[in-house]
Amino acid sequence: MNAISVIIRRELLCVWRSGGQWIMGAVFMSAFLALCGIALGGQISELRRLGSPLIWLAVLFAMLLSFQSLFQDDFRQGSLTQLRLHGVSPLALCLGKWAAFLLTGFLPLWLITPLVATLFGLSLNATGAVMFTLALTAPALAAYVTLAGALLCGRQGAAFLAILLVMPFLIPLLIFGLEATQAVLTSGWTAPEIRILFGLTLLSIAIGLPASSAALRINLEPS
Amino acid sequence: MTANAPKDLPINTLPLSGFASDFRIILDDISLSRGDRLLMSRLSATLSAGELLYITGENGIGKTSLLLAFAGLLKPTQGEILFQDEGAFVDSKNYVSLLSQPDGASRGLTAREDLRIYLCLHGRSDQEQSLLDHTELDIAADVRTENLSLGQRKRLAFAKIIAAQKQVWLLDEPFSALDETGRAFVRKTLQNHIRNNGLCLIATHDPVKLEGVKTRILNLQKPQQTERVL
Repeated sequence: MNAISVIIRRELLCVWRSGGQWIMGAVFMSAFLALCGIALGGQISELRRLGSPLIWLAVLFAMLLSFQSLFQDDFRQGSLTQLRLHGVSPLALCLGKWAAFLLTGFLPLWLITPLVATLFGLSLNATGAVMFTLALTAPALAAYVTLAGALLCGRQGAAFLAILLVMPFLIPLLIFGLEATQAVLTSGWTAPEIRILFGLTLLSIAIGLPASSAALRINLEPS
Repeated sequence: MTANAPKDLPINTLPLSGFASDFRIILDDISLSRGDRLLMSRLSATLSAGELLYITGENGIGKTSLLLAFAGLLKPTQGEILFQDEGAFVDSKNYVSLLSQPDGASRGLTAREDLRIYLCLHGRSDQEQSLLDHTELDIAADVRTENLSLGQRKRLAFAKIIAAQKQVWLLDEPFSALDETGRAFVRKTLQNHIRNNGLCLIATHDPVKLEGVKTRILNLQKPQQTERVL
């Protein structure tokens, strides 16, 4: 537990000192959604209909694009090896990185969601539903981003491979996430879709983090 | 010792409180490869607590790879490296500290912050200032690691190694990039460690004689020709 909290603190400090890396996801999300608004012709009825899916996609892409920054620098500068030899297990490393990524890679996106929701004319309820389902899914998304980072750390030009590897896991989250967003508006906060989404999130954490740990172990201790 | 010699740590923060004397590392007929290239074959040796082993040989011969194998970070293609503590076989990762390139200093953090992370991992946050003083890093403590000189980065790496208090130190060229004061610091630190039943394995082109320390040299040559010089 101590190791995980130390890794989280280290990550937060490193990201804070990285020259604005933590805000890049939010910048990407804002730019992507602004361009979508322009591309859709600016008709409010159309924007309102597509607002939730587009915000979901923007969050998903913004998080996925961060996978390389998660382990790559630490791998290259030898920090992962040193932390491993100082008694930090690969699982603790992944848990620490995952938790810190939720704070630095997801939280800024989540916080600007009400702002970008106004671009699409989403009602207060619809904005709340999107934010609720995004928050419910974020641990799963972060787990798969951690998995992509751990699998491909130390490999150049691996972004395409990461997208290929992780995409099949993201599709169910996207489908049920959007279903749950609609269900919140029609059936309230206890709709079955939300319970399914919550179950998927737990499953993703249960698969993603141990798999990340195994991938990191292989990369740090090649045979 | 010159007037510029490194300061001694206070007694309560001396890095080494004394390790088990019946600790051994057994190299059991190991062969090492990197990719398709065979680096060494069928190497056997036993190393005991309180020893210094210099690993020498030309560039690319496998000195660093052998250190990584000792650290459990590179698996021998044949044979095993066994760590034995008080008769029981133990996990190497709990017993080794590694100084290598890259040195693992965290980009963006200051030397103090970087050291603090490792001290926190070992529950020794209270030793931060004394370690910075001991390694003479106090003047550069608030400089970001990417702006430290090579010598200062090496001192920071040594501070982390001392903080870990592991019995086996695996050091890749520990004397390079250091001025005379720095070299004296490394010599003294190594002597202290080995006298406390530590075990140092140093990959270098330039072995340095340490007084009062049992020293062996392993001269790596191309496979089939690896020899051990005692």
